[in-house]
Amino acid sequence: MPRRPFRWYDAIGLLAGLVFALFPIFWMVSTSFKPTHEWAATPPAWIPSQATWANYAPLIVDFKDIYVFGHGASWQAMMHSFIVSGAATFIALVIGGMAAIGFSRYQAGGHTLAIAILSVRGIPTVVIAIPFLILFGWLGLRDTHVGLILAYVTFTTPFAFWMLKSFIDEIPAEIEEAAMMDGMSRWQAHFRVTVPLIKGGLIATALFIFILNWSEFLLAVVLTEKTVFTVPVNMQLYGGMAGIQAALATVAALPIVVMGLLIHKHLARGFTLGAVKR
Amino acid sequence: MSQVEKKEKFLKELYRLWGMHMSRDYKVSRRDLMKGMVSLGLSGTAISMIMRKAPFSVKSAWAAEGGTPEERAINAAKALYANSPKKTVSIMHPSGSGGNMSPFSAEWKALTGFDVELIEVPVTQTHQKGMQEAVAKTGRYDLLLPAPLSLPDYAESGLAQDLTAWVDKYDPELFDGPNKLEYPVSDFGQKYKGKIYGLYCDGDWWLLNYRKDKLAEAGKSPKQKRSVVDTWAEYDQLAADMTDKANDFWGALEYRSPFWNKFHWMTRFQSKGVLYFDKDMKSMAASPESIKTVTDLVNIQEYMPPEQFNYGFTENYAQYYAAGRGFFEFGWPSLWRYSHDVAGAQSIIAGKDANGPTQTGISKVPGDIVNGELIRADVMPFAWDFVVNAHSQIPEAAYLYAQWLTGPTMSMRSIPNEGGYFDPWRNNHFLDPSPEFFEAYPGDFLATSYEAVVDCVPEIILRGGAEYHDTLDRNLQAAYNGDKTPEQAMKDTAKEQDRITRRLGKDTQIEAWRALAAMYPSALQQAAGADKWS
Repeated sequence: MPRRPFRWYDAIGLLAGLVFALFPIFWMVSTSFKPTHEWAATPPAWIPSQATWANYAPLIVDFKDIYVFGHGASWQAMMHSFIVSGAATFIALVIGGMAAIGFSRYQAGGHTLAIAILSVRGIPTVVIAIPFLILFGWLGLRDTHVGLILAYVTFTTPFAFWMLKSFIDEIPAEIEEAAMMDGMSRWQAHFRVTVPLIKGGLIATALFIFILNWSEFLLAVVLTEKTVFTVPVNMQLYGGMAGIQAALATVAALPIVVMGLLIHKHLARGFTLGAVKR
Repeated sequence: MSQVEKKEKFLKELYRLWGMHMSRDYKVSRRDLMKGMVSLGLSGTAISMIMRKAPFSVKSAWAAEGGTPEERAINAAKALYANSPKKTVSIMHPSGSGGNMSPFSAEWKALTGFDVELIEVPVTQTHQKGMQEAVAKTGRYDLLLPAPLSLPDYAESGLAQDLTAWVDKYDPELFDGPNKLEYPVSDFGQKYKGKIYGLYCDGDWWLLNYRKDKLAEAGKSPKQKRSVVDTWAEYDQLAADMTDKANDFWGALEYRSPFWNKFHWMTRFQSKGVLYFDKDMKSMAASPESIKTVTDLVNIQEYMPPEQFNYGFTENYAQYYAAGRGFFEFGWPSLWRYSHDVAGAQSIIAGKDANGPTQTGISKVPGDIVNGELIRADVMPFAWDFVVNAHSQIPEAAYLYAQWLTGPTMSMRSIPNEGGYFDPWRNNHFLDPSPEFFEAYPGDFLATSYEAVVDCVPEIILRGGAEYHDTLDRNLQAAYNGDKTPEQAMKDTAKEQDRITRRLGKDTQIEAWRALAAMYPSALQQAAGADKWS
């Protein structure tokens, strides 16, 4: 089929799409540099009249206002988020990956169980939050890193499982069989042959799950109190202070953006892997 | 065997055992050992029953001991400590209020044995954490520290313990005596449907701050002592007179940003002798008095800085009042503390002398003339209450801690503490302050605040209160921004509030509303006809 030439209205369409996608980011960054009176000015101040770093101060100092308190400098919340999101992502990948191998290579559980695993995602988080609260209270896991990690693993493992399963399904089992004929054990065939082949998918899955964990608010606000403080909960403390919230959001977005840039080659591969049905 | 014979045999056996015990040849037979063990067990059980079950009488007697609320709380808590299943009182409190409690935790432990654990949560999460506990029933918190607006939801959900019996038993001196709270504040922030669910630890009614130096410069003087203006018309006029736009000096610094909007309407509107709802819980937001209120609130914006649409309490104070760019500002008691605290507030108008702050004056809020009488409706937004978790393992000990910390002497010590934001509420705070207390609230503040307390009106302290507030707030913002006319904004508010009432159950809401209306100042009740509702 001949390729349709690129026309001026295609460019306008793309530009409109780009503006639509980037405007929230522009607004967030712009607001983060605005002085107080421009945060919600009418008409809006698109660009700060006098750019200020003041909104970024709560990142490094313990913010105390008359009725707004930062609960420690926000870099601490970033550390809590890194610990929780990192550990939960790793565990979800390990469990989901093992399950994916089992289902993909050995048809363990059949199709129905695979769908049943995904159905966990169909349960609204708000429904499970209070039972988790009660359970973690009994187990002494309330307001702990371990508790929040477990909660996140519960919710993200089905995603990890399904994404990784689709990637593993794409790799012919015959490659593993050939490796075993050459003397590899089953485990070696899975981890030395198949896993490197789905590296892009694995990284894409990891980033996707990390973003889910990094931005999760509801479970974090219900299951934690004062010891564990993640970024979204920390941001909520500054309700009404749009400049500070925008500054924290900008900083919170950075790790994801940086990670995305560092692994963009793998991501491109990962996002297309499994796209074609065999 | 007759009864007499049985008695003789029993005594003989006792003498024998006693004699054996005293003898040098004392040897214990297996039978005697068994008897001894049984006697010991029975005696232990009896003593335990006296200490545990009967103690209602015994403990009450102990608990009633003490000449002050603090002493009664300490004595009763000491009596509870030995058999208490939990030795720590865990308190969920809003961030920033720890400074009013933490310095006294060691003292409470030394006096009663109970430890204190402070669990700080963000101000915006106090209600949610409480409702979470209402569903989960974990007993994690023994005491909660919500705003009075949370009481209806806490009470209806079974989270808040009814404190009425303990208040009767331990007498925290809330309703009579020299240390009581003045009506109506004594009632509407602590009671719901006639029962006591909260103990105040903070008083938060509004007062009107003004630049007394600027007033003098303009050759004007307060209308009367502790009332710079009496009516809203006088307030509007003075705000207009004091505005000097060329020099960036503004007559009024009212709140015109989301969340903060509603408080101005609440106080202006109700001073016209109309309450939030009528007898049958129909919203009065669309009444002529309400529309007039909103129109006046829109009109006075001419004398307010344009940035007012972005500012809440903190920014308003810091950017304008403390920067010397505004004349009037309504606010909470903390505003007074900041207005003379040079180091803390970084205010160019800070500073005080023997008469208090040198540049800031304090006044009761204005009112309106209704049926020939001046009615003021001084809104009390926020304040904080101690609420006992009904699912706590140690509800009574938790209550006793709250009674102790909010007692007349202890509260006098805790309120002026740095690192907290509790403000005065008891009569002794206003009428007999300690030197430290007066240092925190110098000048005419305490006397003015005490005069104002009788004019206090509540927020919409009903189930769904936050929803009623939110719809009011949003529509006011639309009117302030010019997106809606005052008529349309208030018509929409009334419609939405009536819908909320229907959804929550009209009968229950009516019952709660009439109970709340019965806790209004009597002059306002009469003006609104609410004194004849029940």
